[in-house]
Amino acid sequence: MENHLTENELIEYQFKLGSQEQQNASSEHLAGCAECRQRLEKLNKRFATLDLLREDAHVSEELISQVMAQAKQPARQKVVPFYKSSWFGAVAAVLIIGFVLLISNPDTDISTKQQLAEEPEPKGRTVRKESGAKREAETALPTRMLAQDADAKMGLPPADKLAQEEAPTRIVAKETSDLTDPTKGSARDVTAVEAVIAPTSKPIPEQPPFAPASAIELVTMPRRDKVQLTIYNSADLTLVRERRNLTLKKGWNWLQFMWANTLIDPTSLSLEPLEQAGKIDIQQLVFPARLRELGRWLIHSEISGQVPFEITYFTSGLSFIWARSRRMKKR
Amino acid sequence: MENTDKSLIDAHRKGDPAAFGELVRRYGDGILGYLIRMSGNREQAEDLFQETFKRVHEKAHTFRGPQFKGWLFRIATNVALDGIRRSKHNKAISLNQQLDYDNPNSEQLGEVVTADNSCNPSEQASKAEQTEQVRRAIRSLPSRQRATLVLAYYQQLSYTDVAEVLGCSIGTVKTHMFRALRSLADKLPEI
Repeated sequence: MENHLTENELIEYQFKLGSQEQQNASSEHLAGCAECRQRLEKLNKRFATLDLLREDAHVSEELISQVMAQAKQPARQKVVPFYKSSWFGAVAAVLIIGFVLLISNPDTDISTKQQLAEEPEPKGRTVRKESGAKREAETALPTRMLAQDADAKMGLPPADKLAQEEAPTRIVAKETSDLTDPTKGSARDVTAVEAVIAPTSKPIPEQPPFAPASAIELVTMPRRDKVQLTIYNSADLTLVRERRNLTLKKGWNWLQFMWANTLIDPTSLSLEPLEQAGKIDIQQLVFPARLRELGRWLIHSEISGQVPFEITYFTSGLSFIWARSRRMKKR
Repeated sequence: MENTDKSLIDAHRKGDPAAFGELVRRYGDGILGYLIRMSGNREQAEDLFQETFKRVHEKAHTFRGPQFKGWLFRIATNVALDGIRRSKHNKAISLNQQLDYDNPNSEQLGEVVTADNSCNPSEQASKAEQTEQVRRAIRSLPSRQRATLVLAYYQQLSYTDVAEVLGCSIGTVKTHMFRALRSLADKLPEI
């Protein structure tokens, strides 16, 4: 007989794992095929060894009494931790959204949006109609706008600078209106520029600026004036206290501190003003993403000028050996 | 009139300790046998047995029926799988057990040799060796396949009941069973 059953088909047949049709087909084949019957018998003998483990297990009275003793104790109430409860995620999401809404300053956002919305369209349209010298006006304006926008975000220019900044902007506006054909819309140009200037005359909110992506607008770390080391030999730990005079400007300042190729523990970094403590507020220490081995302090200063600071941190890799001098030995 | 499983579990819920004892006696042997085959170790199986009935006691209020046996085996399976997973990390070998010289990890030879006194020593040794081979073959199966084989072959549950115990489809049970048998066919000793 051709097309004998495979071993897999024999297993499926023996343990009724196939469909009814397969079972019937295998059964018919086996009825007429002595060779397959023999192979099935051999396979069954092999599986019969499984019965060597068929011995009955009896539970001892001792084991039953142990189980009963457990059952006499009151059932343990499973306490679901708060953070594992099903509604925790929803509550957390609501809280996070609420927190984000709370910390975001809607005034700043709106003013920035207004600026962005109002700026480009009028001046773009006006300048495209003009040629030659008007190009200067076209290029001058966006540059000024970007600077204003960045300043607004950074909160950098103090109020006294605003008046000075307005002047060149007005000059640009004047130039634009002069260059524009008076019959075609000088008035519209002036309006456009005035609209741009308007937000800058508003007081800048005391919103912390974003961390700078580059090293621009950073306070430079001067040389240290004084260092004090406390070496804990047994723990391979050294407490470093550095004194440096930093030059701050009024408003927000970013101070960058780098520790490349050192063993400084960045989580231990601390910065304290030694003078004018009431007028200087150290807001946060940021470790910018994708920038390794540097941190930036955000400092809000009500004064401008040099201020002594103390920077403390832990480092390792320093040790000392206690050696008595000869003079001490003689004594 | 004999108490049904449902009436016993209801009585246990109401605080009748005798009802729980009756359930332990009724299913104890089957559960212990199942756990021995799953763990391959009587000591561990007894620990798992206690843990199983502890969970039955604690979760009795969640039993909705209809089959207590299926529910019980489901708990035993979960306990066994957890126990096997844990024992892979924390393997303990008893100091007073004989070891199989072919397999230094074997822990069962002594138990098998003393199990049968009817044969002569050579037959006894041969049977012990075969038993050990079977045990090793079963132990080598992945835990889900092992559970399927033990439930279907040794506990003689139908594939439908096995599917209920393991919480999967009948097709999955059949696949596990086929793979287990396919694997065993190469590993089991010839008589």
